[in-house]
Amino acid sequence: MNEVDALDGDGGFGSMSWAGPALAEAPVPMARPVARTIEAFLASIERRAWRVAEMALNDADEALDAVQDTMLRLVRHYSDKPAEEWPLLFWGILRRRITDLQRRRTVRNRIMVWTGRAQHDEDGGELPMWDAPDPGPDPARALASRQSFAAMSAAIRQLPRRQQQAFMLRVLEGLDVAETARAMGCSEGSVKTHLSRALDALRGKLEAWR
Amino acid sequence: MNTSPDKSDRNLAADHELISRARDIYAQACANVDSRTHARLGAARRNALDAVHAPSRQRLWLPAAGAVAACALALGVVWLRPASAPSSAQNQRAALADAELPPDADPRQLDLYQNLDFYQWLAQQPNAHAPENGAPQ
Repeated sequence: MNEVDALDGDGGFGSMSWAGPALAEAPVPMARPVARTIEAFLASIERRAWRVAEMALNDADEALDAVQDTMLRLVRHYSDKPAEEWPLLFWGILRRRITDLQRRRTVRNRIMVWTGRAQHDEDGGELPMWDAPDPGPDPARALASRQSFAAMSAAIRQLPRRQQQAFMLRVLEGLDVAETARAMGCSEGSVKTHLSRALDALRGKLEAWR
Repeated sequence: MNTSPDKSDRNLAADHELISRARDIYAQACANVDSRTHARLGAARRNALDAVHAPSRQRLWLPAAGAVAACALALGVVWLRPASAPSSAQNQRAALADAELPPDADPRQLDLYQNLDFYQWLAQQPNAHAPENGAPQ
């Protein structure tokens, strides 16, 4: 039995009924009241969605495109659904959009490698084909906070895609196991497995996040 | 599992710290989105809402525009028709003039009209068609 199974007794990752002894005192994500209008819902989720997309894509503009596309699809196809269903629908759409962009980028990079146009860094490692993200003017955020977020994002991006998704939805967004499984389109057991492996991989990198 | 209790406890404690720290960093990052990105997110939201509401507005405007166009066409026809079409009195006069004209000639009678003098002369000849005595009938 792995740590996640041990901790995941009630599946309430984002609730106070979290049964795991190690995570019982973990800060619970801020309570999020259900928005009654689609506009209010989008306004409440847009920053978090952009941060999640930015962590996965390492590109602020692509992250913005992914969020905008997700908003458009949600409004177009699901605005008549009950408001309680919007969060899961939104995260599910965003997850697929991010995956599409990641796959497209992988194909683009392979083509560039095959055609000999790949760029390399000083150590001979391949540089990404996309432009480095432009952090832009951000006087409000402290340097330490930016560095911590950058370190955490880099560590998350090194995880396999499904582990990234499980960690971001389950840990950062605070969805429970069933909700995470729905948003990821997999079983609850798979969510626990992906999350356990993600925690195993990230455990040693905590120091860099301080 | 053959994981020792000590190792498991250490992992649980590390996971607790990891998750707490990750949530804290994430919350700070979401709270501190720069104003430019915040504005762009707001614009993206409005675009998404406008893009969906736009077709419904079109659905309302299209019938109204069609009705206005039909009314304009009808008014145009009503206004332009008296100026170009003949009045009813003119129509009656034209009909009477047409009635006074001789009927159109039958194509088979065209030869008669073209040789009218010949046929008048022929008609004036006495017994032109009477056979001679003893002549075969």
